[in-house]
Parts: sequence; C-alpha cells; structure tokens
Amino acid sequence: MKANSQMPDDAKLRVLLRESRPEPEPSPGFQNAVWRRIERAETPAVSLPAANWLDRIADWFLRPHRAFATAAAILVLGLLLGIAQGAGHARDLSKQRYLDSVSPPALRQ
Amino acid sequence: MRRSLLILLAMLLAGAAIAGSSYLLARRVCARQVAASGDDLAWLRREFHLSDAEMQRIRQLHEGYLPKCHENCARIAAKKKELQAVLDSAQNMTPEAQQKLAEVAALRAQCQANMLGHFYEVSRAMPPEQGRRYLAEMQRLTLGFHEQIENTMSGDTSSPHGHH
Repeated sequence: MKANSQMPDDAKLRVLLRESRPEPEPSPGFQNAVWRRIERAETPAVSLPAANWLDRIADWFLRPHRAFATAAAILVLGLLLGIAQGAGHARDLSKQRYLDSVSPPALRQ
Repeated sequence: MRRSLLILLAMLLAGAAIAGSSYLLARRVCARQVAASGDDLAWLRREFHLSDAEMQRIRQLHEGYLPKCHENCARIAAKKKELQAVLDSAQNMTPEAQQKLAEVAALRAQCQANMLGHFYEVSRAMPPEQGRRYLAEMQRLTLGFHEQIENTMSGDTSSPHGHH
C-alpha cells in the first residue's frame, strides 16, 4: 500500500529532475562525425606491404609440422652438399697420395 | 612486424647452423674414410675403373717400383747435401759446385726416366683408353711443373694462357 501511494510522487520527481538538466542540442554534423568514427574503427588497420609479407612468412613457418619439415630439408641439403664436397676432397686426397708414392714431392720441385 | 622479423631472423640463424654443421660433419666423415683406407692405389681403381685382375698386376708393378724410387730419392738427397755443403763453403760459383749441380740434375733425370718407365708399364696394364688417359695425367702432374717454370722463364706465349 505504501509503495502505491509513493508512485505519483516519484513520477513527479523524475519530471522535475529532467527539466532541471536540459539536454544540449547536438552540434551540426554531429551525426556524420559519429558515423565517420564508427567506420574508421571498423576498417582494418592499414599496414605496410613489407610488414604484411613478413607476418605471413613468420606465420607459415610457425606451424610445428612446417618448421620440422623445413629443418629436415635443410639438414638433408647440408648433408648432401657435405657428402658431395667431401667426395671431391677425398678424391683429391687419394690422388695426391698416389702421386706422392710414385713421384716424391722433392722430385717435382 | 618487429616480432615477425625477429622470428624470421631466429629461423634463418637456426637454418644456417643446421646446414653448416651437417655440411661440415658429412665432409669430415667422407675425408676420414679415405684417410682410413690406407691404400695408395685406391685412386687408380676408382679413377680408371680397373678390375681386380688389372689392380693386382698394377699393384705388383707398384711394389716393384717403390724400392727403386726410394733408392733414387736417397741418392738425390745425399747429392743435394753435398751440393749445399759446396755452396755454403764458396762465395762464387765454383767448378766443383757446377759439377755437383750437374750430378743432381743427372740423378733427377734418371729418376724421372725410371718414373716415366713405370708409368708406361702401368698404362699398359690398363684398358687402352684408360691407359692413355692415365699416362697423359701422370705426365702432366709430374713433368708439368718444370714445363710451367721453363715457359715462365723463357717468356713463351705459345700456351693457351698467352693468347687473349
């Protein structure tokens, strides 16, 4: 009962409060400015092409299976190059060995 | 961007480390295997595609030649010592020093003649085409040094390097 009797007073009070704080009129072009800000916020950040490129490469390599595959490929490549180079070096060594046995360096100088 | 750049740099360094270490490891293992083989004639077999029978014949020739070669080398070394002693005691070119020089040269020539004789024998133990290739290669390797010096000293431009 008490609550119902207070309701008209509350409504009056709200009206009084609203009237005591007059809302200012928005400046001309306010709405347009708000929409521009909203559009700017929704547009993805413009980045430099180089940065974009680096990010994409880094993202590509950061997948574990790709990182392992790349490391394995580099390892195999290094081994193959080492074997090829080592075989050439070994051939030179064995050739020099034969040459030294049949024609001592002192004789060739 | 900065984070991506650091990641890529780290990956490049890791890649270079993996490639470098695997390359050096493989190279060293290959070279060590050859050094461990201990056979002076291993190059001949591989380079000239020789059969076991050909290798056996060449090994006999090689083992027969080595004592003669060592003996010649010892004689040359002794004669060079004599020459050095004469040169050390004289201030000018003396007839004795000239004589020693001629003796060293004669011993070297004899040694080279023996060596070339051995190369001819070895080349005959190979298939004809391989034998020719072996002979040309050995002459180039053992006599080419003197030729190079003589050409340089005489200013001979008949070599391909003389034409531009």
